[in-house]
Amino acid sequence: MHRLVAIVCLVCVSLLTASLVLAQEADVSSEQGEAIQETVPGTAPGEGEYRSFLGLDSRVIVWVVAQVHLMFAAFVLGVPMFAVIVEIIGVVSKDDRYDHLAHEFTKLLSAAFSTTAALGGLLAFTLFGLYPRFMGYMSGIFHGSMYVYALLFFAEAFSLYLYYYTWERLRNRKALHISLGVLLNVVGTALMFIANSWLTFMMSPKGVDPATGALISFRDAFANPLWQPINVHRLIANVTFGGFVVGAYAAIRFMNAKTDEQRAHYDWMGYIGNFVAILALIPLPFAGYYLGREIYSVSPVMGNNMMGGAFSWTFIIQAILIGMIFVGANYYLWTGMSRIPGSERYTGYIKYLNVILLLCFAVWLTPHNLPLSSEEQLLMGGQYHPVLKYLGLMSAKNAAVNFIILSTFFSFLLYRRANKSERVPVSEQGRTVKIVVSAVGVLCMALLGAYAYSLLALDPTTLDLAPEKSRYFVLPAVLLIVQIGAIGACAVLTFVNRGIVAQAALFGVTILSVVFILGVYGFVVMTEANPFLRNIAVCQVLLVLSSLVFGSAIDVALFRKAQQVGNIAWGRIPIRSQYTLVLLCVSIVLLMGLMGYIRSGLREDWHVYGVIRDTSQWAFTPTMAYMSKVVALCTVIFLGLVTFVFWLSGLQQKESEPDS
Amino acid sequence: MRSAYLNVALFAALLIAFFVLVGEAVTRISGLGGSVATVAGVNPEAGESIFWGKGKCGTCHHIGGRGSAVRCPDLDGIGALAVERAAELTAGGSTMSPTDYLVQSIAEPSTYVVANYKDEMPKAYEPPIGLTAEEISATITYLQTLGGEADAAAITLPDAVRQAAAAASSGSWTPYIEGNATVGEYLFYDRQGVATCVLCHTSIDKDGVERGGDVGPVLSHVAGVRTPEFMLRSMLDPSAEIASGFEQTLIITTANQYEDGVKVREDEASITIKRMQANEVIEITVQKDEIRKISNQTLSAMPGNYTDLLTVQQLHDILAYLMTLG
Repeated sequence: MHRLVAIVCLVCVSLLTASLVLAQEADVSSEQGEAIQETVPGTAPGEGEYRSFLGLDSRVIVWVVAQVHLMFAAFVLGVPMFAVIVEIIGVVSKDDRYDHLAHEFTKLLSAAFSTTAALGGLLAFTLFGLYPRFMGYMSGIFHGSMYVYALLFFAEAFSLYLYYYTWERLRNRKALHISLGVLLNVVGTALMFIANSWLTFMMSPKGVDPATGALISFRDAFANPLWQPINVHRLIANVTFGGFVVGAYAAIRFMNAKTDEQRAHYDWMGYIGNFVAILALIPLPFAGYYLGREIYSVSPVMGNNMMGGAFSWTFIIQAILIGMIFVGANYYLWTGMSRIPGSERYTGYIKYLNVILLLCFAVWLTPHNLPLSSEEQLLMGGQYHPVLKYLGLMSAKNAAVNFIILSTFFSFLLYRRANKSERVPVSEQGRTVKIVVSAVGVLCMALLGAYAYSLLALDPTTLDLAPEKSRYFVLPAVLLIVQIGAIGACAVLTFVNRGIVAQAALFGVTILSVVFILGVYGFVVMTEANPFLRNIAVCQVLLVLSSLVFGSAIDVALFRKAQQVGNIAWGRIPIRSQYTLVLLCVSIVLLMGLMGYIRSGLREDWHVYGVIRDTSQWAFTPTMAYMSKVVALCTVIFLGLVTFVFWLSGLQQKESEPDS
Repeated sequence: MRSAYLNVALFAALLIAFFVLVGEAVTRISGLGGSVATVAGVNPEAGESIFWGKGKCGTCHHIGGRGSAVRCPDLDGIGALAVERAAELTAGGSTMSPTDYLVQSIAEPSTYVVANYKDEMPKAYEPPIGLTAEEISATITYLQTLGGEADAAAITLPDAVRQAAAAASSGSWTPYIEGNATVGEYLFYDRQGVATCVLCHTSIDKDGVERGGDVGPVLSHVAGVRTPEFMLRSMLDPSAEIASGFEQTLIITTANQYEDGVKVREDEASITIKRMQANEVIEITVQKDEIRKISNQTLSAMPGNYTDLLTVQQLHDILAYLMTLG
């Protein structure tokens, strides 16, 4: 058996190596000029540009197939990440429940994998069949990486099935089995990165002659400006997506469970799925901000169209969905506290958190302006509402989203300490805890310090600002330095057994700086030094991240070895919490569909932005109503297919375990 | 068990339906998706349509109370402000008219960046916006009206902009054969010849004198605002796109008389139209109480039979002449 594993591993690694060599060769050949063409085959307009199938709208066909494929792919790529982590936790904690959970995750994965592959094939056929000229151009640029993609797909299939089917056989050789899981993740991530380069090339083409579309540098085309931002965003989003889908699966199994044991298992599974999803969801707005910022840098036209043009309203819908997800995730945590003895000490805070979340949600939802009739304008006193107009601007929205993230983190802290009673003072916990807390603190301080220094040294002319505008850089830098001081002071407080006070102080300072000072200061910067506004947002991100990371480190130290009021009564949770998990799943699927539309729609009537124009009859930007129907269709198809696939995978379990 | 599945399916369906309803509601609130009237020609109306539409200027700029974008300067009064800016830049050594400043701000936006704003304005004649030279000129006339008067004749687009705009908007179109501009000018001004363009259009002759009729658009600077492809198409199929303000109006009087021509004036009591008749421009005024029916025509006043009247070479000679009118 081990020999077989070794052979398959060798095949996977060989495929991976062959892929890298092919990629390298494709790059070298293009750099040597062999691949440079005066005219790229398939770029000349003429016959055969577009086709239709059975008279259907070709764009909708490709849209739906691509979106459903992406949803399955997100699940197939996201779940292995936390399956391996859960397996590692099981090994470290010697708790078999984690191992069973990771195995169950992987069972879902193997069932969904073939559907993902089939949808990928269907997508390729529809693209080449319906958009032959465009795909001729794309394959002319990327054919080298397409072979690599195909080879990696074999590696993905081998490593996935190997990881799944060797679960029992390698039970006593966990290191080897976990290595297979890691290999699966490496191959899966490499696959996603390759596909990402194709789609980001369509948004931010580089390495080609803008006038003719001829390839100049494959490396530049592949590693185009939006490639990394999309890679980061998708990597995190896939984990969130996988977590929420697993959570919904667990919820449905929970509702259909016949025994307390099954209920306890699926309650726990739902909690883990939700926990993983929320953990990934918290940094997701930052990754989204990074992506949005780079879109602005690549093309101000595209960036402004996204946030201030035809697509600005899609972000109102996005705000509704993200608001539903954050409120839902918090609600799930709060209902989950009912199964934790001792949680009643903290439930009083929930109403305040609810108010904060709803207020922030309202701010996030507020549009800057509305198309009003002259009578309506007269009633309101102008085009904009005298107060609410401020809530529609980015400064207010940044402050709101950061407050939502901090509030959600606070909810999680309450959940974590719900059943904890007697704590072991930090001063008595030995040197390791102090070293870890100090190291995390120093890391946060270094990050904040580096950015504070960069702000103080920033040359205003690089932002097209007059030299005297540098005075607007001082306040954010000062706040970063204050945060450094706060982290230092909180570390000291933690070490003298005042960790709770330290956490409250850190939260207070962060909220004051991020929400109330920078949130308001953003408006000043917006009018006086507009280009600096992006740096304010980065400041807010760093302050919040440092607070989350160092706050978590303090929390771990505070409740390490703490006594418990009682064990968590898994399975004893209101049924409405399970509907919340379903809500979270449906919301994230809709959100992914919406974001897919925004990313693709931003190109407007261009296949490759500024290079290959979409001259088909479907090149128009659809309305929100049209978009919402297509995204809803994608969601229904995905949820239907995934339910069917999970049902199929459950058949085997039913046959082998009739009592389950 | 079955009811649990059903409940979950219903719950999911409700959530998806809510999403669709939000999409519908946002469409109604935002007002997106309606058809947008397009106005052709080099005039402030067309420019306004381009500014808030294809040109996407409104995604960064606002104009007084219209629009909400604050990323780039408010353009309210830019027509008047251009005078100050031009004077400021002229003091710096260059010779510049207010219109030149407006041209520069679109053609080379990085040359002068308003204080406290980032140098990020794209060149509107390049992809992905890809405005044509005509559309850029129309936008400039719109900006001129924001605190000043529209003056299309004052607009001179740099060659690089015209070439880039032509390439961006129509690919790499070039005339089918080479034309002779001198012959083209003769054909244009020959009142007894086969083309007789001068009867309806004003242009600049070889002595630099602007002369001609006013039934059709002034062509004195046509090469600055129209692509060669557009000019040839206008000669071959003049009704394909009629310049704004030169649409034909048909009036049927209560006495069943048919009068058509380009509308010149309209007041409370009457409408005046003009047209070519026996090589002369005539104006006809009809009292409104004598009008039974009035409608705009889709047919241009310009004859559509130049393919019969002119040879391919003559068409290209006239085109070559028009292309000298920058």
